[in-house]
Amino acid sequence: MKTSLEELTDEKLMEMASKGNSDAMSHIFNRYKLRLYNFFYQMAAKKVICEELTQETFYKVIKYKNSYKGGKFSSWIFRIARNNFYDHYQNTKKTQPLESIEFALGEYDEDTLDEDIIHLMNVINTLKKEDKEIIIMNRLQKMKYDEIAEITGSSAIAVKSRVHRIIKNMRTQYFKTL
Amino acid sequence: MKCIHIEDKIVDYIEVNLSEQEIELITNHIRTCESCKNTLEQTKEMLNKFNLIPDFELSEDLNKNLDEMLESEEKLALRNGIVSLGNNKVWGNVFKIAASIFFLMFGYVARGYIERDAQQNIAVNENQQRNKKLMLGMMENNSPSERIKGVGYFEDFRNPDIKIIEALVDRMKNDSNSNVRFAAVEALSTFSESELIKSSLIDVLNLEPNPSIQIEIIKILVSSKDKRALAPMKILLGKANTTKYVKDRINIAVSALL
Amino acid sequence: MRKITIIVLAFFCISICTSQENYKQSLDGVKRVKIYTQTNVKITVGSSNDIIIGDYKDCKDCRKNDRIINDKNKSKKLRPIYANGNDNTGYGLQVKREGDLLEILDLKSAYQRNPGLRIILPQGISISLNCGQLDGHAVIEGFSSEIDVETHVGRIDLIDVSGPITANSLAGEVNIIFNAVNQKGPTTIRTSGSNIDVTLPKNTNANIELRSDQGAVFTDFNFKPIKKDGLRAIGANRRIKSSINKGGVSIKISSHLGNIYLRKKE
Repeated sequence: MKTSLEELTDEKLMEMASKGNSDAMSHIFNRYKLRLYNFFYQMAAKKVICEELTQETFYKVIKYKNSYKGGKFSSWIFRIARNNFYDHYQNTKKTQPLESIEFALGEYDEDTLDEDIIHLMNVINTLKKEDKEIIIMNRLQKMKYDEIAEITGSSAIAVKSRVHRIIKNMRTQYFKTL
Repeated sequence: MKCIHIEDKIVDYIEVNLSEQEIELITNHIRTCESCKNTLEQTKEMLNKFNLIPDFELSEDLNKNLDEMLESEEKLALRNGIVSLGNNKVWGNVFKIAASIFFLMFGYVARGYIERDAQQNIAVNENQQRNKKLMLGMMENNSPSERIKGVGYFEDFRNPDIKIIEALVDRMKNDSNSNVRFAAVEALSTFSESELIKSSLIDVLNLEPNPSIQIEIIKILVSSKDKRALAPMKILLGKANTTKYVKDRINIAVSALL
Repeated sequence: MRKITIIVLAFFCISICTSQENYKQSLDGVKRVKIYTQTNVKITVGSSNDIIIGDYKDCKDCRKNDRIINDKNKSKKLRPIYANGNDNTGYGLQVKREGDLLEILDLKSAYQRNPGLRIILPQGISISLNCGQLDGHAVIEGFSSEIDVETHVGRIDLIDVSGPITANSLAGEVNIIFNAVNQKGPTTIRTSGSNIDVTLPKNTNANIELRSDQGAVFTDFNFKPIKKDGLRAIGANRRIKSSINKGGVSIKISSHLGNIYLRKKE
């Protein structure tokens, strides 16, 4: 039984999970937990908050499983994740200024990371959040333009041209300060 | 082809996402243009670096919590089956009670996953939706203790919606039990800046017979410095059946407001 | 032989001669009884699943009103009628059943009902009692179910109860002795002008809030201020908040003028 679950698509698994199959739900968790956690971490590297956001996202997956209507699963789950991120952002905005939520480099283990990589992360960090999330989704989470368009409510063409524009700006900045 | 056009297409070029024609055009241009060559090399390098940003591992705690969430989900699925008896009138109240307990328990289970850090505000929405339903239901209950419990949930709402405020105002004005009315007044006092609530309090002051509640309302209106309270207070002062200590309190309040 | 005959005869007489001595009604399917009267009431636990309402003959401190003697001859062929409802019991009560709620309205005036009503209910039934706008007092003993009681200037005595309790009196003294505290729902005890005396078992888990605007508050419990508000343990509203033992259900006791006594029961 287990091997056959592993071979199923995300969409099929979620459909089963929404009908109460907890094994299927467990597979969904396993497939997406690393991706979601890293998405959050790349957006705003505070371990505790990322853990909360990850849990919260999965909690909503369970709670709203019946509202999954069969579209692309990664879009669905990332939409939830993204909303959670911004909701949290919204709530903490009052108590914490924007900047402190961003990458806290101290959270990384600097010894194991290449200087160049750290520099790139810093550059990503300077992006405004609408650009940052798109770059993270496209370049780090390896999501396609149409997927991203579904999640952010835009069009694939708009997303693509935006990504290219962001990369162009980042290039200048990355090499200027390297 | 101009250099500016090249920059816009450079990512597509690197990812071989252009027509053969365009690729040829760009390749030819780059051969002779140092600046665009540089653009290509740098962009390539940077895009490669993206792939080197590591994935961060989930902590043991997080993994454990996710596992627990899955376990609860299994158990909940079982309970769901039992609770969905629902519509039979005989089971009506049993269902309501079971459902409330079910919601309360799921609330506690879910709270374990959601509430951790002192400083985080996540997922208040979830509990709010649940509490709102519970609350509105409880305020119709035959038991005054249950109605008071429902009113008590008001504290959990940071931005209570109009439905809840109206339900509380209704309890304050119309509940037959004075302890429930008192509890409603206390709950509403936490949002005493609201116009709706202030004017409801003033309305109630004209009609509420219980002296303790009268005094409670007077205190709230005085602390919010609302001069509109003066009129109903003067009326109370004039009434023969107003208790003496309420009249004393009003006299103090009137001086405070003027 | 003769003794038994006499007893049997006496029994018959009681049932026939005093046919309206009490009112009895089955409580099958009833979860809550609501009673509204203008007079004194005592409620204790009975063994059958019925409500039995009779005269409060053994009342030791019921105020004796001026005797109004109803001359039975004068009303022989007439029947009593009431302004506030219809007697469907023959006992001056209007009884209405709504789902699991039984509502009893006492149609007689305080004087007519004097010295009061003596009521017997089964264990576990929720009680709602309102003793009206005169000096009716309430005594309720031995119930582990929820009690909601309101008086005007009459006292409230709740003995050997578990709650949740919702008690209110304008100016009657309130005395409550808990034998246990049910965690099911909050207890609120309020008066305007009179003292409140509450006894809780010493190991009760509860979150207590005590307040008297003008009176004094006494207790022999160890009060640990609840950290939530931090500074508000004794706050601007003179509210004293504390948890006892592990904390738990909410118990709020407040009065405007009266004193509050919160006692530990060993």
